Amino acid sequence: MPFPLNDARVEHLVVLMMENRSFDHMIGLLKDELPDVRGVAPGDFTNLDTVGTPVALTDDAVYQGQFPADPGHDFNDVYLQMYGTPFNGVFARTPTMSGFVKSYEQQAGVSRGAAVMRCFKPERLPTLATLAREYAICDQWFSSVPGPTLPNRAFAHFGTSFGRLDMSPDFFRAQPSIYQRLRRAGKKGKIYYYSQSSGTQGMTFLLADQRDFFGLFGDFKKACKNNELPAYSFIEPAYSDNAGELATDQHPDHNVLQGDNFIRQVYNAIRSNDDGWKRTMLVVVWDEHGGLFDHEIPPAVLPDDFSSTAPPFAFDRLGVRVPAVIVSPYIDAQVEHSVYEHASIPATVTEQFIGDPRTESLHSREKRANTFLHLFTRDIDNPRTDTPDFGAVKTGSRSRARPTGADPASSLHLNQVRELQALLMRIDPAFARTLEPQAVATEAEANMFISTAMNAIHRDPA
Amino acid sequence: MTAGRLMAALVLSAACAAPALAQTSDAVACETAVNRRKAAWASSAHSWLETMVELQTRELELSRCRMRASTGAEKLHHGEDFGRVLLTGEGIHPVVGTIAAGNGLAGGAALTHEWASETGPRFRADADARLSVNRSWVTGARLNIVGSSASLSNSHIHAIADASYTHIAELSYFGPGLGAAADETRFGLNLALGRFSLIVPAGGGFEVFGQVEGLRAAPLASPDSGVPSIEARFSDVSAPALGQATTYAVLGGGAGWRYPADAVLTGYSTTAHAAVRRYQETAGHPYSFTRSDVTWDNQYTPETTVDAGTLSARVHLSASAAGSTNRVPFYLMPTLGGADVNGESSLRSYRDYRFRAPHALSGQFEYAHTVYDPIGMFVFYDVGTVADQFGDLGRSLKHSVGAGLTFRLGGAIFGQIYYAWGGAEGSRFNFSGNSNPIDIDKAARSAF
Repeated sequence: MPFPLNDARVEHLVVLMMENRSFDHMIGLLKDELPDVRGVAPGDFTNLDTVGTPVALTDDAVYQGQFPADPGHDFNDVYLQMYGTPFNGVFARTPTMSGFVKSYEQQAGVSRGAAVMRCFKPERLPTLATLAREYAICDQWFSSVPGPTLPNRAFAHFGTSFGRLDMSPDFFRAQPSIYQRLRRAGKKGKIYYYSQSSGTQGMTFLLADQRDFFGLFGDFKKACKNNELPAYSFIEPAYSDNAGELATDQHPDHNVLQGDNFIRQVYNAIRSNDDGWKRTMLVVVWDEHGGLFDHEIPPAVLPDDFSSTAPPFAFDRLGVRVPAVIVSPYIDAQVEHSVYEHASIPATVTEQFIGDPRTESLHSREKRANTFLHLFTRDIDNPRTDTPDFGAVKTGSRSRARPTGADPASSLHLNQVRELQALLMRIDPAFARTLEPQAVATEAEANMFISTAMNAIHRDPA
Repeated sequence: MTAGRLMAALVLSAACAAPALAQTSDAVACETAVNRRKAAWASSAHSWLETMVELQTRELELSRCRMRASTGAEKLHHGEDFGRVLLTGEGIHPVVGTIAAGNGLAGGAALTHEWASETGPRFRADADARLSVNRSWVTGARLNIVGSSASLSNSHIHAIADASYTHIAELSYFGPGLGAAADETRFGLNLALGRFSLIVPAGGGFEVFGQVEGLRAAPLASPDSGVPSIEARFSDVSAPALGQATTYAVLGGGAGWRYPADAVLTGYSTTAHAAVRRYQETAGHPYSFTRSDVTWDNQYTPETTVDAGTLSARVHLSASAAGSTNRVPFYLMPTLGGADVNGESSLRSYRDYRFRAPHALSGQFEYAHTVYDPIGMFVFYDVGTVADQFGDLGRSLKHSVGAGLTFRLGGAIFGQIYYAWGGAEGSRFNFSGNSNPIDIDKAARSAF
């Protein structure tokens, strides 16, 4: 395969990176209508709270006011969320995704943990849900680092966070970003941040003396309208409420619907020029999960070129799963199960515009990251010309059959069964002995067991 | 109790400046202690203030852990992280800046808190208190309320309620008009302000606003600083309302316009604001007046591969109509020269507050270029005039030229240092900057 690919269907790659929401929280409930999506249904999963009470996943997330305290997403917080126990310097073997509720109660106080288990019904997020239904929904896109915003965004800009897990603005590093690498290849890349008052997350300092790499969201809209987008555009939402504008980044506790509208603004801007639309691929992705529950176990990966000493971490495990949707007139509705992380972004940019990422990318994680240009399902002479109806909820746009109760239960589901049985043995051993957790093998049996156990746990002792 | 814990964390963190062994085990033990503290915290309910202080303290402790366990550049990075937690985001933060030009550096503390209910508007509250080296001080609070109904255009009704009390130890007065001699006198000023502003987007880049305000201003004799107090050279004739406190009910309104409607970094953009405010003196003193302000900002940044810099031009007109039986108090007149009481600069080679009159017209023309981000350079040309009568504006102009450096944070300028010259009063070297979160929107700003 010759590199760069220079696929004519993607002269412009646009990435919109939102803030701090997990896959299950935002679009996990799409599983109900898109059965192939590795999502969730209400009650599918529980996490124990600080006093040992199971807190179940629900479908009642609200746009704002859900998080009186910001859910923790520092490395230590995410470790607790993924493994269920505090980090003690040694990594546990396999994440259990069981500490989200406890972690949030460490931020907000006792009995507040249920907030991180509340998920959005798809109709609450009309733009995101519609794009997910109509184009490619990636249900295995993980944040690059089990940690906060800046190291995760660094993976999108550099393919690594240089061993950093914290939030300090790292302006001493003069490492080439994807924007400089594009320029050397004779292409143009640009960061469009929302406004002067919102600014850019970390990149002002990293891109020393290269103001031409920057634009505001108004510049992006103008470039779309005039079909003058650069090869690569990275869009940053508004990170704070400012004067008469609301934050659009969806970071807890910002207004999520305003963020959904911002996604639509980006989509509409690209659609505003038909020629531009036919040559543009849009990726909408979140930087990290922000402390909100997700059930998928982040996979282990080979270590990065850099490691952290405080805390010790070799960057050999991805962070929690985030929502990701890829939009193009050459992509038909599909569910994509390949594993991606944020290093997939510069890897794909490299593959399309610079050269073979295995040799042209500068850092190991980017060299090994999956790219996503293979998601095209249409030839260049057969683009989609339809426009999604964001105002109406569509269902049944996938042809695959829904799973049946006879499908085997996931390992996580079985873990949950064992966890509930252990809890019941402590609080009601007589009843627990009447159950048969070892006989649970299918989704339906697991759901039945969990439902029975939860009723027993919550019933009135009298 | 909570403030004490925060202070303890600050002291603890400051102790980290001492050299420490770079031991991973130290870091793990230190972070484990933070984790234990977090687990204990989760066992009970807490107020928002307790939560805010706890989260901030915890973050500071984590930064301390990581600083202790690292060496060299890594320690520096964790020091930056410490600074970020200390100075930004929700919580209680130290602030450094100025209160009014000529009153030295001020420091203090600020509290920032944001909240929203599930269905109501969004709120952000800022409160701060600062004390300067010459004992000027200010304390105030601002509440921002933004409508929460999401819109595709992201334009929302915006309300601001703010109140402040300011004691300014020293302000300069040279006399009225453009011909005032360069002999400086000084006075002090107490200001009490309560205000409510409502800003409504009107589409197409337009917005309108309305404002009600209560203002009390009281001039003070200047402390003995080696410069004559204002009473030594001026009387009520040449300094209207000298020695006279005034209390106002202010009613105002206006409009703003931005083109393009979405802010851009490259190409041409412009904003314009026009406002009229009636200052009605409520104690019967003859100092009621009507002020009109018009500001027009223009900016052009060519879109080139190599940074070509930015050209900007700003024009501001302030006109005060008092009628035949009233006058504008000297301490409420607009000023040109250096910086005004709001920190807005003009005629930068002249001393602060150098020219003062009921009417003022100023223009600023700048070329700015990044040197090494976040540091930039700029050169400028300032022009301006003041007059007792509106018709006299423009008959004579003062000029300044200069150059300086800017310091940006997250894309916005937070400080600048410059050298300016021009006119017949020599040259001037100055620094200005402010990390204070209370920054009243221009559209909502009135006399102060």
